[in-house]
Amino acid sequence: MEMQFLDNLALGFSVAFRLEHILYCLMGVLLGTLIGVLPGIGSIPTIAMLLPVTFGLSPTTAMIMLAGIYYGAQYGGSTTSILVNIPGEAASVVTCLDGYQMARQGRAGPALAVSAIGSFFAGCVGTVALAMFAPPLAELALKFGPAEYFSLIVFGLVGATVLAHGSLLKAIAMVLVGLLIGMVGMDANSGVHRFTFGIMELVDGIGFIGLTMGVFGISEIIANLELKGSREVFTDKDMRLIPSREDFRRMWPPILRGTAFGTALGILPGGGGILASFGAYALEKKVSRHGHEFGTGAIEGVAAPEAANNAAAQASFIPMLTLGIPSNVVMALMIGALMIQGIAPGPQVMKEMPQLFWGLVASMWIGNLMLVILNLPLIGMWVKLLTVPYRFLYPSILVFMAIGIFGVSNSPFDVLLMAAFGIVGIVFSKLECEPAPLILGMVLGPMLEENLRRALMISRGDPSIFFTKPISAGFLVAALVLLVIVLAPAIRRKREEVFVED
Amino acid sequence: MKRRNIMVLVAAALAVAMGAGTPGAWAQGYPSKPIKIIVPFPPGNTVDTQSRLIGPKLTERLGQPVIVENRLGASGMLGMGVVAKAAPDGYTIGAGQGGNLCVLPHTSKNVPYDALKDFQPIALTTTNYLVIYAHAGAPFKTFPEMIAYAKANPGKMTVATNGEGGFPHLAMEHLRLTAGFTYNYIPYKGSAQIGTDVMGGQVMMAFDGVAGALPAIRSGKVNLLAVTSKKRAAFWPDKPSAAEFVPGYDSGGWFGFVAPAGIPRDIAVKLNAEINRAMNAPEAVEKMVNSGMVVANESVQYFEDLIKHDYAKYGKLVRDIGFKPQ
Repeated sequence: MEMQFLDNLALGFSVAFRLEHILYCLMGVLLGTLIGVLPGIGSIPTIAMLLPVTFGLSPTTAMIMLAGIYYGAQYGGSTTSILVNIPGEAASVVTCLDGYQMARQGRAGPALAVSAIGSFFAGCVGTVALAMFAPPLAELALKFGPAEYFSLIVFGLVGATVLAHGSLLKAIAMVLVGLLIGMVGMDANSGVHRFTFGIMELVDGIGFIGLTMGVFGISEIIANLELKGSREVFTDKDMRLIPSREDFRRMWPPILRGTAFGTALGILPGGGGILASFGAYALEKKVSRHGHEFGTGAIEGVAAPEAANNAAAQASFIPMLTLGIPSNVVMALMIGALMIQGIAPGPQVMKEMPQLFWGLVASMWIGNLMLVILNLPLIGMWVKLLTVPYRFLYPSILVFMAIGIFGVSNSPFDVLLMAAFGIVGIVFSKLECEPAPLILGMVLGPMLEENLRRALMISRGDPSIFFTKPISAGFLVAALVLLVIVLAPAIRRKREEVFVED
Repeated sequence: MKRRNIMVLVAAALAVAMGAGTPGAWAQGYPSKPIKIIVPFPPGNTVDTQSRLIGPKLTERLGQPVIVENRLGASGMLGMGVVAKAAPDGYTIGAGQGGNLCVLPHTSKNVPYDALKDFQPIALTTTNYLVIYAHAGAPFKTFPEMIAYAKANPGKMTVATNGEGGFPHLAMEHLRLTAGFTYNYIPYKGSAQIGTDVMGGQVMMAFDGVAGALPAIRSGKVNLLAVTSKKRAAFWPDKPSAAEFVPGYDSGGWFGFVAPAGIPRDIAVKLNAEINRAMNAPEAVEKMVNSGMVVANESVQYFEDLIKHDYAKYGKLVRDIGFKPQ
């Protein structure tokens, strides 16, 4: 068994080290980094548009390049989160919380470095996990039916309230607002249009990208206008680019925990990535000795979610390659690319096409290494970017955001929606309501509802289905325990003390 | 300057007047600028893949860029609405399918187009059929056993399809009406989740497109019970068609290109020929077959008749099952 594993890896590296594959891998990660850094241009449209290009490539080459775009974009997405508070995708929303605060304190360099190192480590571990445990882990995904998903999401949402570093009531309220926003659009079960007010553009729901860029990005830009010229100077203080020895010491435990968390959740289809990064942050806040610094620029608050989100990105390949189950839209597109090539993803791919499976696994490791080599020297350049005067930097960011959001559906409606959510974001920040729980509620809300209703339809309306299935019952009990801990008077008092300090 | 402008105008007017007088002359100068294909679905969708597959070939043959533009929203209704309102000059065409042209007009209230009046069908590109598959541990292994089980255990059989009122759901309802049984309907929002839940045994069986179902079928964790085409599929010659047990049952989808109504006939014919040529190139056929499609090669007239036929067919089905438009 052990020998066979090494043989497999050797085969994989012999495929991945072919010059052609290295070049396509580099092209993929370069393109991925670029689209990750440009706000609003995500990996989904990029991969979709490149699909026809891959028709002419061999399946292995095509997968290596597409995978490179995907995890390259995960890397690039955290760069904008840290520098300008604009998350590129759902999973990097959490990176904004402490990463942007670090940047405001002149510590953008260490924040970017920690995100690159954390991502690299998690990517390596995720790849090894993929190589070693793919088949048994994929079986686990099959155990998750509607009831299990519902309970997992309940657990995730309860955990999210721990995220907010302010009033618990406000955090719960924001999750609920998020759930409501997630409900806009056509109901899959009945086809009824909800909260659309007759606007056809709302039938498919409110786009996540527009909302996030509005609430985080535009509101940040507006908030900076209030400073009337006395713009915050991010960079002139202690301009160190690399993390200090203290930073290194503090970032390892969260990276390890985040990696474990991300690998476990990345296997699950659906919200794996976002649950992983939110969960890793919440966990770190509870267990870290520096928990009270979270939200004010704690390095752990960047390390844990970044590691988790990248581990989840690698782990999401497991169900795709072994069972043909896509755990997110990008994986669904990859399956599409394979099918066009005449390969149906599934357990037989590993046996019948070992060079594809192991070549891809090995190329992911090489790609992660390329990203870290590519990104560490770039940190200096990114930090320099912050010295560009606001009157040049912010209008260009606005233009990029508008182009990006327009490109998603080619409709001006989404641009207006983004602008509207910018104003909503300003209102939230005036009221001191954290937008992160809102995003989580919005992304998970539709899944929560869908799985709740589906589970009840399967059980013909009998709610005991949530308690008689062991995995589902386990998550619900865990959620209850978490709620008790958060609400328990003694702990609540301590919690309040902590917040009074900040 | 002014004088020259007027002369250009006069020349153009003359050209138009002369062109209108000679049949076939519209298509002669066509195309003189880029052609836009509006795809009402996100990139990666079946019609998107087809459009991007033939786009470069059309560009090469017609000598003008053919651009694919995704206008998503409202199950494809927004994009088709844009096509319906575009100028009927052959420079805007839309990627349609049975769903947004023949099903949605009956199941949805605010459709921004009249599928029969607002479009000129151009070319049918591909047809497909659905597959009926069940969890390996389900209490039935074959199609007749499935029907017998559903009749013996009213409402007990759980069936997954994509979205209520969608094409696979209507196909299932059609089977229920024709064969006479009941079941417990579990709507989903995508093939991937359906495949996972049938493989995991969360629901007993599913009705789905070939491409979406293929990974599940290849996994060995589900049984393919039947295909919904009139005859057996070349892909699975040993699997029966549902019609072998339920006479008269036939449920298939199709994809094709339409233009705004009023486009000159000869442009429609020219585009039809070029699209058919691009779709029937060996490498395109191979890619379509890999995702469970059958490439078509039919005339404009054939496509017009098909849309009329299916429009009436689904209208009747939606009334028969008592589905209320939303």
